[in-house]
Amino acid sequence: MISAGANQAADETEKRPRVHSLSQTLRLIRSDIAFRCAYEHKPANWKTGLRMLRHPGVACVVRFRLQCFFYFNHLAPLGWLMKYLNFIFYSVVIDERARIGGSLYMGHAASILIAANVTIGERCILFHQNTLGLSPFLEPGARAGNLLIGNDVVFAGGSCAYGDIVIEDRCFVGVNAVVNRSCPPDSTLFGVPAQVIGRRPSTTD
Amino acid sequence: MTFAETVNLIREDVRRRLELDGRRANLANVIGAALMPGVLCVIAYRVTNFLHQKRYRIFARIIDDIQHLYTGNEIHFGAVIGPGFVLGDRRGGGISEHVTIGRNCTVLGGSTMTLNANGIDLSKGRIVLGDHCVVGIGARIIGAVTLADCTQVKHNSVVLYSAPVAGSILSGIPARMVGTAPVDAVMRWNPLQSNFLPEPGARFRRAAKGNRS
Repeated sequence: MISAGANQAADETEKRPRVHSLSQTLRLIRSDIAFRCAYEHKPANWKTGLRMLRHPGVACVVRFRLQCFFYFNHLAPLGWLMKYLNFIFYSVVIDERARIGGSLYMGHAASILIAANVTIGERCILFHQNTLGLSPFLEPGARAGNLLIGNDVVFAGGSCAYGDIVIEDRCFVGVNAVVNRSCPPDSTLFGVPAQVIGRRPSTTD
Repeated sequence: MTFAETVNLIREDVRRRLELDGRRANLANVIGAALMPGVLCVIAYRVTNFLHQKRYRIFARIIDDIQHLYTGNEIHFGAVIGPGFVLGDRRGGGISEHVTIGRNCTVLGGSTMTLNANGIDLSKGRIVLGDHCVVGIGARIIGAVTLADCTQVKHNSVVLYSAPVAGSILSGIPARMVGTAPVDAVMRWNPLQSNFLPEPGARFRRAAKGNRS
């Protein structure tokens, strides 16, 4: 069961406007690099930030931001180029219609796939071989819908999430877990299909 | 198998991939699709399988290694795969020589199918997938397992036992049957289309149309 307050946070995530302008795109890129610097305990200055660009994860995220900018500003061929570069170098495919908040951390840029129906909050952490929003199966009774992911969610390597569900704030999705049900905030999910096996210590406790 | 049959199989694979992607089968789209790692891996498999049957195994190995650099997938040239095979564009998949796959199957990326685990005797049995099977991302099929037609193996599940019921849905580690889907619906199902609700306020035609050029 999801509490009303948790749903509210998810609704705010869903209503986030799509980024169109160049300044907003640059701000997003800057937040990504700053989060990466903070994550790796490096000083957040220009020198470190530019040096960060050679990390595959940072390069992927930056290319994705540019891809969104190009696609929504009538420069679709350049957007396609960004998408294709991500694709052939790292097998990372992120649909430009996916709404991804600032400070995305991509740990290992390898085989990450994010479909168009995904909304991700801020400070989300992805590792390798995550699949978000893609459900290639015909299941009786399954609803088509958008995948909502809150802030500060961690997806460990190989984890998948799909379906008309909400993954609330600060959840931890374990290695190779497959999430197809909504889960409360601060929960730790493991298994195929994923079950809540614990609760993360929240900063508000 | 003659060379013409191999070419027909390749044509069938590319046609099904374009059909699932919602693209027309014109020359530009065919060339574009042939550059996709999944399609390229399947084409390379068809060629290496042909060379393998003509006993030019060294050339088959060389082609296999070259395509492995680009696609990261590995389909052993001894595998038997029916027409209309679609492989996902993702690194890290492997299909061993003990695998038989039916018509119009879809294997999304990162799936491994092998006998070579759990101390199973390699000389015994094959992995057999029926027609219209869907194997999800990161699913493993291990041991001499027979999956009936229209079986769907969900993401990250590890299949150790056979699924004799047509249209069954397998999930979990080890995978067990969690439900069944109607067989004729699975045959018409498009596994590459993600089921999402189109955004009502999409401003630009390109964005609304999506990635199907």
